Amino acid sequence: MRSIKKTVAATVLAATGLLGLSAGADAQSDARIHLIHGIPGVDVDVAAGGANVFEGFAFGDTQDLSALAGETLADLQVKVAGTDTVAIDAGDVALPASGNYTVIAHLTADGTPTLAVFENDVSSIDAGQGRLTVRHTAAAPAVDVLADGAVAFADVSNPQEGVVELPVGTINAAVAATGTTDPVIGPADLAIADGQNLIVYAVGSLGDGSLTVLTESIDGLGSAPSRVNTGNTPIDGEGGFPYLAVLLAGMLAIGGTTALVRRRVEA
Amino acid sequence: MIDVVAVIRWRTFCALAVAAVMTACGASPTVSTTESTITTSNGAVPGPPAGTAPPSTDIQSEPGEAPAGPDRAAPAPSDDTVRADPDPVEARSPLADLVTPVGTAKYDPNDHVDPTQPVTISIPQLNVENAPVAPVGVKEGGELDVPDPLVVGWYRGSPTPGADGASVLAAHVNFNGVPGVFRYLRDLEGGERVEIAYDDGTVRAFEVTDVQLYDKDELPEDRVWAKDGDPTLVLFTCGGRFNRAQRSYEDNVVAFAVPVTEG
Repeated sequence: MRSIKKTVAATVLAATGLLGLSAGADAQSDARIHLIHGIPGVDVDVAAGGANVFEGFAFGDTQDLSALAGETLADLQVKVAGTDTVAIDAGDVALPASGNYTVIAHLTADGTPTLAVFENDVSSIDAGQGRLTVRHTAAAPAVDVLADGAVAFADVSNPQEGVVELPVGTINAAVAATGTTDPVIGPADLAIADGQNLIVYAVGSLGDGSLTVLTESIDGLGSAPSRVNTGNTPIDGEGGFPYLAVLLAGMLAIGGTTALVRRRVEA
Repeated sequence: MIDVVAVIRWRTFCALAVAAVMTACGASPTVSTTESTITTSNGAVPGPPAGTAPPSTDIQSEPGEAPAGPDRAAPAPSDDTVRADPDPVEARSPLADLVTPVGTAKYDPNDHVDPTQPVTISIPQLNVENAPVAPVGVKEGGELDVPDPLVVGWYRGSPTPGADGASVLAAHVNFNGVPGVFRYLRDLEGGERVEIAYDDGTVRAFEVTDVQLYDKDELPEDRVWAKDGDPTLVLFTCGGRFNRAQRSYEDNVVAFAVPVTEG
């Protein structure tokens, strides 16, 4: 992987040329990398190589880093917006060259700001199903995730994740301390959509009451029903078993016999 | 409904170990020369000699870079011995043009409300009047789980009728000898009406555009299973040759309808 420092040099050259090609253009492939701000209450600037890449990034904001796939972000720092106060000093961060990832700035279980990279499950989903991914990225102890009152994921601790496939519909979800049912987040409705991976992050801090959720979704993972079979008996008169003809023939036969019998009686 | 526990796939978090050390001390003074290169390309460093040609604007074509201007003038005269002196906070990375904001990840309850669901269907031309509609999924193996012959199945993986994409409704033509709701679907003609009543009490009218006969192996997937695009009602039943060995028809009769726009 090339370092971003080299890329910058390349950009300088390209910029004097025709198009000013962007640094990541050659590495773009089909990667999808999003960065989410998952620390409530603080706006941040994100810097690489000592220069701000974006500023005033607010809680919940998402940036698309896909164009930087395959690059190494040198000296990646997350700083309190407008200051030199470094909240996360991530060092050199190598972004995957391809695949589907989410980078999230979040709190560890003990409340330290950190950066995590999750690979998102984009494998295909059966028709009529959706995928639910739950990630514990909050300053909180292990939790259970409840869906419609039942434990869906037990004993999830930061920074673990759980993945499940569910029929399309709406579930009522809540997060409670492991072994309990008293919600610390929610309950809230979550729509499970066909062919969609709905990713839910528990973020914030239990200590200061800022626990909440962030969500992102990835569509287009579904498949259509394989077949629509809407009939197991032929429609009359269309090459199938001639029920009606048999019935008529039967009636005629019975009628004929009856008539014959009558005649004999009369005779 | 949730047989979830059995299906859970736990994954240990094998994310990149991004060394995330909370550094209490502020900006480190060790700024590499490479970074100087970056700031130069960024136009943030005026350079020692006054009157040097303006830094390349090729990269920073964004007019919104103005804020960096006034501030960077300040440090330059004070000590120009340290090239990387300009406050790193003010510097703007060329990567800035490669990242794009994609909105917020905040939870919006409105994204998670149940859409209105169809409850009955009427097709006057076929003498179908308020036939019940039930949401259906797929069976093991992926085949649509079509309900009994007097009920129309709305594929719950498809949009609600009238929403963007192809809303799929399917009913038997004939099941165990009982004629299904869509027995005469093939007789529908362009311009004829289909009405859907929803669980919120509303009714919406659709107008047939065309009726097609497709080999079940050659369905136009992009049309009948469309996830987005113009709202289309896709009514499915069976037709064509009956395969006695499989007790199934070889074709699907598919009627397409679009929402009637006038009030």
